[in-house]
Amino acid sequence: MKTQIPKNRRAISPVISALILSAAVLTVGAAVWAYSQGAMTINAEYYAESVINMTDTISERFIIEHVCYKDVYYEDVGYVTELHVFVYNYGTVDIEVRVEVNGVTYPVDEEVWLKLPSKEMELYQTIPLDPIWGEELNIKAYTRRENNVYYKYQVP
Amino acid sequence: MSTISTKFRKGTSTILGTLIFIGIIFTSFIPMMLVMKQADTLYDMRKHELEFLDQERFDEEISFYAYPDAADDIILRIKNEGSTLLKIVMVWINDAEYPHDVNIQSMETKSLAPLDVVLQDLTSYTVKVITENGNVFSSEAGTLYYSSSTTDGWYTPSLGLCVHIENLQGKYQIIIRINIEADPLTDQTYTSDSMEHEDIEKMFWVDFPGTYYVTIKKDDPGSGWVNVIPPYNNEPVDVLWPASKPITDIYVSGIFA
Repeated sequence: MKTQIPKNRRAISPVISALILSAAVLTVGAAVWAYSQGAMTINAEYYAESVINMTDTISERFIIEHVCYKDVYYEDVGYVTELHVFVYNYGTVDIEVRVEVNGVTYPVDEEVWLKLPSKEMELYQTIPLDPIWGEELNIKAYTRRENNVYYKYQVP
Repeated sequence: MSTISTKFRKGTSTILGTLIFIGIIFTSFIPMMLVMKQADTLYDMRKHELEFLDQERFDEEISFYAYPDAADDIILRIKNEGSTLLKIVMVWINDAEYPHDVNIQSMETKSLAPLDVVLQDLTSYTVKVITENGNVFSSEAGTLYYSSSTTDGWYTPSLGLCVHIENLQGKYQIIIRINIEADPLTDQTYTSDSMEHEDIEKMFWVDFPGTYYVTIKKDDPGSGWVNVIPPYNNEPVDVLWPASKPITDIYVSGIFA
């Protein structure tokens, strides 16, 4: 049996087709709009944050102002001779410091950073290191943002 | 029956798409670029600020002497020779720290309050100051030395006059006279070798602060000893320790006056 396609069948109404097309364009456009806005906001925030971090990194200013051995009294062990390293943060940003003496880093726990606020007079890192007369100690103080300062100390 | 023309129908989506694209440009891309540009501007501003602060630190210049007052006191005399305000935040005498908060204007001289030190026999005392900008200055007078066997306990720096002659070849004579009325035997005289081709630097040690009279001459084969520029012909030169440096420098050219 032959099926006959009606010859006078009309296509969907042009108004409805225009509406559907517009709706599809608007939906896709809105999605792209929302996505791009979110992506660009994140991008801008990330960029601004990285620039601020970079600004903080170049703003760091600190020196090792003094190094000496001192006898410190502890109730449990009595007098202990320690190397004291005094760091002065004269910059405008707070820093976190660790100290390296002849290649050994202090504090030994790698997660511990000594916080030194901006313009803070000093902070000393005590290091349990026996003095050897005449020995030259190469001391490096470095920050979490990877700035370094160096100091050479000869044990008196 | 009226219908929407085919042309209009085709244009609607294009226009909407264009509007959305422009919307994205204006509401996302341009604000993002503005934020980035602002961050870059802040970075550049901070960089210039830091360059200025570094220059300020570099320009800090002081003339600083430490000298004993009473047996266990050390006085610091600091002159700010830089062009900006100087702030002293810390004084170190050996391993003892003395926090300070002293401002010294440009070209101003200040004596800090005497610092009490724990004296140990036959011990050297090194004095240094730390400025707010992170500079460390040591006493120009060098290290002080304490010994209980001497009268007042302290050995202070040696005093002297240092004569620098910019040598243009020739023979020079330098006479340092303690007092113009004094016995000529108290003169210290130095005569250079005429074959020297380098600048001459000669130190004359003296025992006490005071005024000394300096004569510097150059040998002229035709007319004997003549003045150089500037002329030093029994010119008074002061050694004013501790108000001034323990060593007084004298500079002359090797040119005939």
